[in-house]
Amino acid sequence: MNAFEYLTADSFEAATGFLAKKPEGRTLVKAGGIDVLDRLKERLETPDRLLNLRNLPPAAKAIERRASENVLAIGALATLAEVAAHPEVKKLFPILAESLGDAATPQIRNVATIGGNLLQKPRCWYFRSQDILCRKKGGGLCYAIDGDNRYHAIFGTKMCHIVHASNAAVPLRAYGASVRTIRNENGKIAERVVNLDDFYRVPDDPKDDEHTLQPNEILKEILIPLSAGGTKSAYIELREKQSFDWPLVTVAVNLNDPVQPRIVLGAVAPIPWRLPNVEALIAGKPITAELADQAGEKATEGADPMTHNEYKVPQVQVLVSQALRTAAGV
Amino acid sequence: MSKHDQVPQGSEPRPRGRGKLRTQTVDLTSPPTGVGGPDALAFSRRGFLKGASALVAAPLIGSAAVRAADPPKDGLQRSGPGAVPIELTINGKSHKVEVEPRVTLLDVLRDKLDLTGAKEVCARGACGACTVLIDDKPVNSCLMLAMDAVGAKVTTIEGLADGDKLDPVQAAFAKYDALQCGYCTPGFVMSVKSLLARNPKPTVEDVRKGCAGNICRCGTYTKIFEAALAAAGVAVPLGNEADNAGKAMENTAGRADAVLKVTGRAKYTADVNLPKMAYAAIVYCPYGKANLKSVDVEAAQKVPGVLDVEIREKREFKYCGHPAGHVCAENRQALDDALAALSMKWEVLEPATDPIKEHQNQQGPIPPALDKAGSEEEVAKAAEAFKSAKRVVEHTYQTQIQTHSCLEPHCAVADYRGDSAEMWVSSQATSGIFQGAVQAFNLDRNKVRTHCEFVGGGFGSKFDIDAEGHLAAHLSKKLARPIKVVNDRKREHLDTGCRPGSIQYMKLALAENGLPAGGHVHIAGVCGASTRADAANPSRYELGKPLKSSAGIKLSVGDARAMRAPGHPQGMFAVDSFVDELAAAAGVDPLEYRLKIDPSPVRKLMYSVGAERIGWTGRPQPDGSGHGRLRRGIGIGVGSWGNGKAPAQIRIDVFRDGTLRVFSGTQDIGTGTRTVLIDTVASHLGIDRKLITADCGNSDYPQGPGSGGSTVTRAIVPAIRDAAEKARAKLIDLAAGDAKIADTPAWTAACKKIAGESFTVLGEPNDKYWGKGGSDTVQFAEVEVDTGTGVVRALKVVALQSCGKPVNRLLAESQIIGGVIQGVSFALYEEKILDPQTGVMTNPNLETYKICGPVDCPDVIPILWKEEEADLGARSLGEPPVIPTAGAIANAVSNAIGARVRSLPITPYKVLAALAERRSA
Repeated sequence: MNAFEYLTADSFEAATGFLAKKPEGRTLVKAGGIDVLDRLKERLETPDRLLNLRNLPPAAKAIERRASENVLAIGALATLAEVAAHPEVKKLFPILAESLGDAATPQIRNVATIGGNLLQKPRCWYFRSQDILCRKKGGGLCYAIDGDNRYHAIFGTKMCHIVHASNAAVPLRAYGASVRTIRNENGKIAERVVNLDDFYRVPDDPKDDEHTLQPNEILKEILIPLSAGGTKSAYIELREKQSFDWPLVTVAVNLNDPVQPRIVLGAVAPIPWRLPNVEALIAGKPITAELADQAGEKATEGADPMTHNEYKVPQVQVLVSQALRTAAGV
Repeated sequence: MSKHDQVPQGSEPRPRGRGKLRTQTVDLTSPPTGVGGPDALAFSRRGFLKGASALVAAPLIGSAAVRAADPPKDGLQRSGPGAVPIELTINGKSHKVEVEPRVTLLDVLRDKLDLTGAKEVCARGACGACTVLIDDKPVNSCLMLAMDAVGAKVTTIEGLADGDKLDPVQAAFAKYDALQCGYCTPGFVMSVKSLLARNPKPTVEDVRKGCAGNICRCGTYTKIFEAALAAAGVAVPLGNEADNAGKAMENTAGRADAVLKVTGRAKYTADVNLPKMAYAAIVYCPYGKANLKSVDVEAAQKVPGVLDVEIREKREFKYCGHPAGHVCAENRQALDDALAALSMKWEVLEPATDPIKEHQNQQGPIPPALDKAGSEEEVAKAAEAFKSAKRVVEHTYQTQIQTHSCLEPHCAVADYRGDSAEMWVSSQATSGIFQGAVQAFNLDRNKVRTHCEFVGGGFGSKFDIDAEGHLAAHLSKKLARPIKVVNDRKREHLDTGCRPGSIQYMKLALAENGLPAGGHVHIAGVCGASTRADAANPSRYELGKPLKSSAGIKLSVGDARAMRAPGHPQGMFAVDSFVDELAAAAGVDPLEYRLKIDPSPVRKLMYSVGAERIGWTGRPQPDGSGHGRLRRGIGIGVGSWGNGKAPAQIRIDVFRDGTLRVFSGTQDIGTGTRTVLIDTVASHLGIDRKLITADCGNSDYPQGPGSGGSTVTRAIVPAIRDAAEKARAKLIDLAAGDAKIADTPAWTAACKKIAGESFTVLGEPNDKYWGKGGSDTVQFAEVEVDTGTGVVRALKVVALQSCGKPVNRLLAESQIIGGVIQGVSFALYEEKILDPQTGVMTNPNLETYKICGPVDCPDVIPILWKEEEADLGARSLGEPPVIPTAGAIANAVSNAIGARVRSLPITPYKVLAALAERRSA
């Protein structure tokens, strides 16, 4: 890690106020710091300062039903362990609790925040190596193309073949969740709410983020519509190892609204990957074993596997089918 | 719905083939360091897009005009980048330290406060060795800034025990031998402690998940689960009830140094902090094959606190990790800055990374033409075997490069004081490091002292002082102060040895009776740029003496070193897989087939006991005939190990109060040398082990063997017994002929007659105590394969193991369990992965270099095998249990799915490919 100045904000106002001033040099915003420290230790980044959000007031990590918006609001600073253990999350949005309850390690879940989880950088081993100057870091090559791409994307790539690493984003997108961001605009606090469907996008330039958070913005909270909750859902995380490991494929299925089912894949595309064609196939129909298998087959339409990751195609097919049957109780 | 998603499904066409990468000049100072993108919650792009590279030269390091801690303004508390005073509450005490904001909590604990129980192993939150409690919750102190612990209650391993009274979790770890080398132990204790606080009555599954963030490289998980349940009040038997051993094995006393290890008090080399100690690191080539075009060390030399920088230019670098020089600085932070400030321009050449391709390039085709594979006579014999065969079976197997991944990295502390010198080395051969230190310091032997009282794993990679020790000694002489060199995890993977990969081609003739009748076996060892490492393919079966040819394949990787049973696990994976394929070709059950071709009478007995324990007759028949997506299967693997003699000396001091102190210079790599010293003396003399203390791992003590070839216990036991017998003889003399000193009262009574305070005896290996015969092993593995996803889980391993007479049953079982778990890890997870374009190791960490964790570990049933004619000696035990596991797992997978994976590790990718091939066949 390089030496940096350390700023601890006591409020969102203070933090966004600082960002609005466009301070000289590079500022890195840090919450739990798990992914940030990982990048700093590899010197993937050498910021002039860290803007620390760990000491924001408790409201920043509150988890509460908010009747005015008809949502469950989760403060971005809530740790993965806190979200996973929260009774309302477990009751209303069980697959979110499930995805976080087994994420990373017990130690990391106690520190990593849900906001940081949604915004973490990809785990591509070429990107994470300080010895490789890849496209995502401004170089000319994606080393995954001719290299070892066993853990890379099979969908949605544009010149860079990373997969999105967030566990939580997959069920959250299946719940139709949004994020609320906060910024300081001309001295006034401004907020916006963005659905995850729009928040994540595959950037045209690999150097850009896979999300649309702006440089002056901070992710404040996650909003899950209460209407999306229920028991007709399933989450499956496939790993090589059952102790700490990054997933090969994750699947979240939400059938609580039979007219608009949602199916989202993780670890197969640069962003949490929704399957609208499959959703259209099953919308309004009772899930049978046959339909689930059809859906599984359809799930990989348009997949473009690389030289070493074609195995993810049958995995996606099997897991989508399984998740649908589990969610429907078939 | 985002327009960027699935409509249209698929991806933008990928640019394929960007031309052959022959050379590429890489400037390490251009912006790998500047990465566009999100930070934790937001970021400022300013400054990045317009000149990130300007930030690289560590401009802030010199800005020592640092504010300590500005008063809050605008709701922002500012500190750094220089050191700031902070106050931490650790184990109930307040500690005031000055740290830069970038310093982690772990570094403060270890470097500033000498609280070295928490270890740095992976430095990235993947191993749990640094686990501490923050407000009673476990966290990785390596991924927490010390600033972030201000105001919190920090509990470290040192804070658990109440004086001499161990916490119940610590006591259970000690009692159940839930530790081997002990380096991961503090982290596991903290995780279990926290689990029991949240969940006082956990199931074993809860324990596995509660420890899922911790890794034990020795593979002692089974006993950790037992200890955790016992600490929760569950009645857990001590040791495995299944063994068929007699009374001699009933010693279940705990490990002699367990208390030091469960409390974090054991000082490993990486824990040594000396006054005025400086830090050094090895600089190395980051690419598989490269020329160093230019070096600029000026910026590095200017980093405040830097003491020495040296880079060797003008040579070809042959692997990722190839040393190029070193940097030395006052502290870790300055060292880190200096490494980053080095400017090295590399011309990257095409590396050799593909074993099959390189075999073709370097040694010709696989297999080599039979007529060129051996002598005329051998070739004629093999040709005749094929000609007269009823069937010929032919397959090729491949194994990966495995790194030792010792949790304590290779490290050394050297303290040269002009006329004498002292050195600590994390080592598995105290004799080797003493010789190395004498040479490195260029001093007389009586002026040098070396230490290795505790070592956090070696597995074959730590016999010498190595590059780390040489650098520490060199700089300590040059700078006249203590120097510490500790590898980071990356260098540890790159250049501290490995188990070489292998390609093993086997083609055997089956005679009319279905038994193997010779043929051709070609084995290629795949490893480093400098040394040749042939694979062993050490068949334990009668295969009709096939012609053996071999080749060494050099890849652009660091050289191999011995690794636990060198050559054997990879060799027996191929042999046991092939034997199953022969049995299938002959239409015989693989167990029956082994009874026909296995010459060992001991293993023949083991087969039937193991088959019973695993439920062999209930396995699916034919292979792959189970139902549903999840399929179970059972497989067998075997191994054996020799039992050569080795020199060792033991000193015993006997005091007039009846107490004894036993000394051996040999190290304790985790097998339990101190326990062996104490338990052997106690059992030989028939006295209470509480009378005895033991010391080892120091060059002041009598020399003993290195931990190689499973030597230490079997070599020191005869010398300990010899010394004990000499001590008794002396006492009998003193007691004027009372020949029956065989219990504690007689012993202490006789000791009162010692003139002065004590006497000393020296023991040598005495042939009459030598354990005759080898060590045999048979393992049965049960796996579950998800045929939909290809994921394999090892469920259970029954491990039958002969080892003469175990000195201590718990510790002997720990060796077996550890061997099996390492074998599972080798079979299913571990692989050093090389980028074919640059030769960079893509997974130099403990996340994507995957080591079997607590949730992955099968139920291991160790069965200590009592032989009919068991003698009194201890035999080899460290290595044999790791040999059969991969073969047993591979055979179990094949039994489960009816398709064979002939390459390790058995990943989902390979399982699905094998299933697809079977379907298309």
